[in-house]
Amino acid sequence: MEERGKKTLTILLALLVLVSLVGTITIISEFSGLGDNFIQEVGGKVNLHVNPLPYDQNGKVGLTVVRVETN
Amino acid sequence: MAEISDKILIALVIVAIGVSIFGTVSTVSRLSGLGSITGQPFTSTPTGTANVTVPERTYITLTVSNIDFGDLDPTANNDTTDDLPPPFALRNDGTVNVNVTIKATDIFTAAGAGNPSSYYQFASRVDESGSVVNITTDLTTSLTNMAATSNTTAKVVSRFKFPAANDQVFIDIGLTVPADESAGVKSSTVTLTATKA
Repeated sequence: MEERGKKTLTILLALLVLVSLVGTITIISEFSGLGDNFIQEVGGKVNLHVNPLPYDQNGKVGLTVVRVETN
Repeated sequence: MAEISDKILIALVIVAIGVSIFGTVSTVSRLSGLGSITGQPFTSTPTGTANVTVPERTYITLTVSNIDFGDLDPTANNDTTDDLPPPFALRNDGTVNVNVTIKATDIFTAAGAGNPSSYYQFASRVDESGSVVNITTDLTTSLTNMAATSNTTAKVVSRFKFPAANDQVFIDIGLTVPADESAGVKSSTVTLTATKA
């Protein structure tokens, strides 16, 4: 076999090895999770509004002014 | 460039063949575990056998995922045990019974009101009867201090069933506003994590 042909063949074989390795690793990693005990998370929200203080007995914001008069 | 010997070429061919065989065997063995469908497509006999394996899937859904307590005054409290406001509704849509843990971000900023504290609590109860194996031991029936986000073991429901007729529970939330909590909108993200029971 001519030397140039050998070099081309060598490169092609090296590429074949590389592609095979990458393919194998990819397939194995893709399927490695199947059948495992999956953990799943879901999220919810809790909301409220805290009223400001001070507030009066009717729930209105602000101080209730009580006027006291003495004679 | 130095000459490439035939030995190197032969070695590369052997390596390539080896990797290909390894890849093929690995792939076939992985795929065969998924539940194969077998038959006899080339026979003239119109019978066959189909086998399927239902995989184990852990899948839960919050059918009610938002609780709004509206306005609350400092020191006031409210909870969802009377369905006012409605609690979280959690459904097991998977193919196995699951255990569920709960954790949440802090909702209050007052000193001492971070999770876990009595200002923010949770509990659980069945919505559809028979949704857990044992109603006494698999639920958190009394309001319990909410777990911090760093906690991954606070159980809220265990052995939560998946069959559609009995696969929904309520997650109750209780709040008490600290006396020195600042006014304004408060929010917390609750995370429920399911694993196979």
